[in-house]
Amino acid sequence: MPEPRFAVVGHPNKGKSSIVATLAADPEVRVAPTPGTTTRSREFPMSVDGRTLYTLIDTPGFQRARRVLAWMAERDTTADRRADVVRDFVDTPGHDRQFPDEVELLRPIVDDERPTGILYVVDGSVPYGPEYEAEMEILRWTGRPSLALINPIGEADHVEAWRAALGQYFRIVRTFNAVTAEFDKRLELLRAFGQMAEGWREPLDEAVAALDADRDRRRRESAREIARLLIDAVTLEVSEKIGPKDDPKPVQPKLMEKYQGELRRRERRCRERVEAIYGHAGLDRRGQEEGGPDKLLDADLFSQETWLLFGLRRRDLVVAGAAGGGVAGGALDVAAGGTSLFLGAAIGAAVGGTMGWLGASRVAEFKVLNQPLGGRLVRCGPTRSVNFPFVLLGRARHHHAVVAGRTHAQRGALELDEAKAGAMNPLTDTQRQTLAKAFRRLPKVSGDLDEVAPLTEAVTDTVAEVLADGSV
Amino acid sequence: MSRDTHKPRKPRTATLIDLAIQLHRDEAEPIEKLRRRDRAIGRRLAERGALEPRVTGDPHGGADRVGLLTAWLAELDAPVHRGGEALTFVGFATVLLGAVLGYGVVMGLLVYDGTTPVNVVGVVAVFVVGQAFTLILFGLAATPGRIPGAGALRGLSPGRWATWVARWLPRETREALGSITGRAGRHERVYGRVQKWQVLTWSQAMAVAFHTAALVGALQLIVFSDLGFGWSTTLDVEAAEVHGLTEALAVPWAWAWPAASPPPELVEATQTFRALELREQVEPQEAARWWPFVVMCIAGYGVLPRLVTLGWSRWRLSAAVGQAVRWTPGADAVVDRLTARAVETRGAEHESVVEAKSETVNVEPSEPIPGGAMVRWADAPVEVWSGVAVVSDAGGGRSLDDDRRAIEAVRQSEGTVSVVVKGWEPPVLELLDFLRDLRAALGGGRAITVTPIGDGDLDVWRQQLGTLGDPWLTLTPPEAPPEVPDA
Repeated sequence: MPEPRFAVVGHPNKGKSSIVATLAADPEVRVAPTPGTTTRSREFPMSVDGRTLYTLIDTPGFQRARRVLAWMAERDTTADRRADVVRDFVDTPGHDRQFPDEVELLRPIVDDERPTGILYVVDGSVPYGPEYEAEMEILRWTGRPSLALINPIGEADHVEAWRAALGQYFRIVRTFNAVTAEFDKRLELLRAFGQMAEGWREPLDEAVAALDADRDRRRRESAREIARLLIDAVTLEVSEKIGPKDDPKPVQPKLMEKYQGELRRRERRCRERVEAIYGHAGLDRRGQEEGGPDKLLDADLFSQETWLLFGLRRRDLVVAGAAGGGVAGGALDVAAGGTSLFLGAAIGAAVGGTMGWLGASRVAEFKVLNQPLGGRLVRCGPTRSVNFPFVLLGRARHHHAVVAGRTHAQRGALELDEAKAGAMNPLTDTQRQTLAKAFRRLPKVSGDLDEVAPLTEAVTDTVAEVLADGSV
Repeated sequence: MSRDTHKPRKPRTATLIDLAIQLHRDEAEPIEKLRRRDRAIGRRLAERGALEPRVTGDPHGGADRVGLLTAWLAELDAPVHRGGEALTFVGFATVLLGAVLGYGVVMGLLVYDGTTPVNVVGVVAVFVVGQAFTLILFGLAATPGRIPGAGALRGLSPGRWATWVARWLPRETREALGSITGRAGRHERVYGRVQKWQVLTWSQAMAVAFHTAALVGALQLIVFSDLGFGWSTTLDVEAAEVHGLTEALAVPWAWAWPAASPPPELVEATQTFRALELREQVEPQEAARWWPFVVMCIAGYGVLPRLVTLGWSRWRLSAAVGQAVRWTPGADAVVDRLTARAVETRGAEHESVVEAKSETVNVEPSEPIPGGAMVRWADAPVEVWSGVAVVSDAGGGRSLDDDRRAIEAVRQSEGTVSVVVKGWEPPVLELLDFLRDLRAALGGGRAITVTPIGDGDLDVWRQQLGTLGDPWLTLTPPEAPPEVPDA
């Protein structure tokens, strides 16, 4: 049985292309306010390993629906022959010039060899009007399985009126905002497509399962990128050689600038990769060109507002600091032969907790090292801040949530709601402790893959868990 | 590597370099392209049974994942094999350098012109004591890196010299190695152990070459010339003590080759003093009897331990490479792309672009002309303006005959014809057809205004109405509805 096909049809400028852009996750679909932007039907096959499960067809809008209906009504016919009349209309010579849009949009629908369902799209933010009735009537004449989608382009003020009107022409009526629809909503809609005709449920369910798995894979891929950023960040160090008698102080500001610059660069690279994973390559650039940078996402990594918003809270810092610092404290216990009754761990925890509160200006400290062959090395990093990797994770998590939740019908810069950013679920104590331990251990075991590998895995798994819980 | 090989060979350092170069290249490629490419390879490998269940079932699967990545490299259309080329070159240069040094050293040590015998003490110093010392250094450098100074020792390893050889590599290979070095610097935690064992393997290969060349050189001199050996030292050492030493050194082979363990009388008879003529001190036949000991010292304390350390280094290197291949940044993503089903949703062809039309229509408030006509298009929700002489309805749910009747009614009126439309609806061709028919009925000169009420995109209206090319048609902004005075 051929795969189901769905022609997305409707009045011009009612969001047909937006629906297609979102469901096909294709940023190249042209979405414009000018009627007639879509002049040719365009197919978007959804395939898994090369096997097509369904095809979406973006079509031009109805431009002369009353004239077309008048032509059809002139044919003396009965209800069982109406589909043939529509087919005759499409095939009549000259109609492709007189009614190019209607012929183009009806042609795939009347194709008997490849059964096509109708997705009729209206804008639920504008009032219902009688000018839609002619086109709905034409679609009814085709006799194809159909579903109406109310796509509120603005405020959804008129959805109920539309629902009442559409219910007279279509068996299934759904509301679906193409621009803001969350991923689960998109899958739900696809499942509804499967209800349109017998035999369509199976391929659509398979498609939904494949898309779901694909989403998990993208999330995991993003988690790996973010984990790599975090590990790079906690192990990063930059250094500069100075003479044996040189004062290290003048070198330090330049070195700190280099250190922070490197961290910013890596964060930017990570974002680009996450955007590419979700098929939104070039978002940051577009944002800067069109609407200016987003305040939250583009605030400097080392700014106070970033640390306040994305850093750990005081209590969480103590937990994280304790998890990281306790290790050092444990070493004190060993040195004291256990006689300190684990006082060492308590001291380590207190030190860790205090360190966590230090601000961005203390993200890394300087060290002057003597070189074996003379001279000295001024080194900046690796960071000893408990909070810093969590700030980085908070930003990365947020960026991921916005990118992963963004539909391909959205145009323009990434936008982030500060309230939503603050309202994201905090990490669990276990997540914080796992990460803090790994962040503290990683700089010490650099080069020892036996230790690095499980830590990397732990960070990646935890980040994946955090991302799964981090929708905006 | 053959494409038909089901089980890929164990990865070597060259594989790791090739992998790193390929991943570096892939960073510049669109992710969707990589997904398509790698899934196609993954399906080919699955068909040939190269995708082990452990890989497909567990994204963290160990050895199978390494094999999969190796097979993936071999399957790429334009595979990189710069790693092998560069390593072969560097390895060859290292071995050559070791051989030249070994040959040179033995030629220097075994110089004999009939006046001064070859001093066995020097041979022992270089090939036994020296080797013991460098073997200890190797042992320290090979430790897992927790011993203070072990890292610095690796830095001093002769294997490091091999990196200088890179200067003479072909440009492309050199650049490839450079990118690896850069990448290795960024991901030291992954490549650190491979670097360590590669350097140590090179150093041991160089040592094997050094001692083998020394052995060959010694045999060459022994066979093709006559050598006279003796022992001589400024220190106050008795012949018995020297014999004790040589006997101890010869323990490993004395049972098999007694002649290679100098007897006490030989040791005593071959002590020489430079102040005396050699012929007066040692019989030539006696002096020659040392050679088996010398040869076995080079073979037993030079070549053999180095073969063992070379084998050990290669084994550790192989393990380190396998681990690094598995944990190379980006390798996880490759395994995902190979094993995860490829989901495609995007358009198969590019969309044709419609050029925006450049004509537009004037936007101006309409003149208050008493007795004008008003047409409500598609039931635009607007009150009838006062003073309007004729009011007609067209479009929307009405028939085309209704449109014609509306036009006729308007034609019989005078003054401006105001067509009120819903601003939020797009100006479809049906409306433009109506305006065209209206103009045809009215003839030129009579003003027609189009007033989109409610929210709408004025630019879109201007642009679409402009396509009519009607010089007497204007667009009245919704903010300024025409005010017609009472008649």
